[in-house]
Amino acid sequence: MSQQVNILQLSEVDFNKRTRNRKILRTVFALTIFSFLIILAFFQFFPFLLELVTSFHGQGYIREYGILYFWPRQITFQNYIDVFRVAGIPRAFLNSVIHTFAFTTISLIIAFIFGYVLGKIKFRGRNIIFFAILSTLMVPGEVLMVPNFILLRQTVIFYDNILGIILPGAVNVFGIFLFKQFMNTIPNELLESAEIDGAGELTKIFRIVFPMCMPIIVTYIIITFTASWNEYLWPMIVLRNPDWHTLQLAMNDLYPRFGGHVDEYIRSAGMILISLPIILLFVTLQKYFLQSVNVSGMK
Amino acid sequence: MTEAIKRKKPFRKKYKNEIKAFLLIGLPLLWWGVFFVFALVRAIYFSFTDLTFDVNANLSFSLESYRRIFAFGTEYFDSLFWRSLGISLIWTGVMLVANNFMGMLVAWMLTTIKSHRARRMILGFLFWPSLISAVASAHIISMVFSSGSSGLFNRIVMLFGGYPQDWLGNPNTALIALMVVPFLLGFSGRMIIYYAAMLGVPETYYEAAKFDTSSKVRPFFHITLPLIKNAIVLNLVLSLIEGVRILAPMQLVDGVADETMSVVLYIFNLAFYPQALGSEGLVDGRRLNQFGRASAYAMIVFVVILVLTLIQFKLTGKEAENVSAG
Repeated sequence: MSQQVNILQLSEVDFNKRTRNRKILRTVFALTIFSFLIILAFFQFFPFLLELVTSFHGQGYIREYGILYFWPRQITFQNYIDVFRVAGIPRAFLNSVIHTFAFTTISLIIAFIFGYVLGKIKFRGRNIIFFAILSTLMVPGEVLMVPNFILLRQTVIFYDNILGIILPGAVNVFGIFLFKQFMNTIPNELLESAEIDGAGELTKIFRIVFPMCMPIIVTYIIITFTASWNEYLWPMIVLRNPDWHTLQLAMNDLYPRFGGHVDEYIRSAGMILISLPIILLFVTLQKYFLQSVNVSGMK
Repeated sequence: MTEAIKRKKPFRKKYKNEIKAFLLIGLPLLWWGVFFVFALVRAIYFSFTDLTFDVNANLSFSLESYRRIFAFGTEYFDSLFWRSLGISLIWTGVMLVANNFMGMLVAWMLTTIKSHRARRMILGFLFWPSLISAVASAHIISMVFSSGSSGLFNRIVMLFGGYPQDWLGNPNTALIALMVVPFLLGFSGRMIIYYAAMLGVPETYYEAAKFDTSSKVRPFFHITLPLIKNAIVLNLVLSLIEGVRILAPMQLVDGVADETMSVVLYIFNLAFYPQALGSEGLVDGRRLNQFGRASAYAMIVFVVILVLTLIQFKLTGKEAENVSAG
């Protein structure tokens, strides 16, 4: 009898010990993962930090041999002012803003209405149109760049100006797909009752469906805004005249002609400048950014 | 009776919805037809001609571009195309494996963090590099590997007593130097998709697994992996498409050797920037934009992407059908 009790007690002590060990192990595990992620986050930030440090150094500053700068030895905003003095950059900034806003707005409206029509109006040929459009998602832009360039050059009005980078891609197939999928979540009864109340098609689109689509609209704006601000290949093909260059293209003007430190400092400031709008957008809309990946990726 | 009514139904009423739909989307549909369908048909047509900059010239049917690709051993054969395609595929393979592995690992690590605030902070820091433009990324690569004592990597080498080298200018190291930064830090886009997928796995599954095993790793392989299969397929396809279409680092990094030219950069140079090419940019001794040849090469790239995607779908099974081509 007494032996049995002993065994019971023993195993209980043993058990407590094991749980305590496991608790310690779990904490160590969590701490390891946490510190790994922090280090990784630092490495992700590190190149950007280098750019920042370089961009704050004065142009007369000569860096010491074989030293890594984690912090600028002097802070000046002269480089940022000088970037704007480089011929073409203010104009390019304006071009980029116009391009991004115009493209996002136009393609949003088209994709939204297109998605609504494919999702909510029952008409003959609907599926054929949808699958035809969807299948062009598979075609990479590289295949289309030559014929589209030639077409733009033949039309003349779209060639070599900002219309050439806004309009050809205005029908955004990915956006149409996104909106069409989202239309499934809007009940048909709602639209039917609106119709009974005498609402026309446009009223239904803009008064009822548009507000209900807000989450997907924010997602679409974020994705498209980032993509068109960063767009590089197509503008480079279409825009021959430097007056129409976007900011990404204008960065080429900052590469060294005389090969000195001065170019490097200004260039870093330029790179910060072209990344900043997107980063600011990300910081303010972080929640939606992460959501947007969820929506666009998993549907 | 009903037949009669139906026949009497005026056209406008019978095709009410069709009229409505085409009033709303007719113009965009036409636009899409011009810039996607017409362009694709034209690209195929151009690829069978020897079109140069002058579009109004008389075009004749010619298989020359395709002969350059496939006629191995003849004078036409363009080994540069195959080399550049090889470089693109090496890039694709390396990035596909590295970024997906790292992305999945980091996403899983994030899900083990209990505090939501800390999680979101780290997620933010890890995610934003994927928003940086190709131009700025290329500048970062050239900052890290630039020649002389100004490059970051050279400074690290010097700290250990080595001598600075021209990593990007040397054909033997150029491609590796280009790949290092995207290899280590390019996982952000992949990570976020894996992370979102892992959050979608119901917590109850893991709780049930706790009764069967005390391991932390086994639930990952037996629960998480099968349930995020869609995300894996999506990520693999995205990696593949992004990888084969790579162009910016090869073109924009300052002072990189010509030996790193990717296939899309080659196509771009043939069509729009023949100055960057040596003898391949010449047509009868003149520098001309070779649109026909570029179209043919682009067709091959299209086929390569298509075939690799289909192989991936085949390997990963039926679930793939739910995935959009993003």
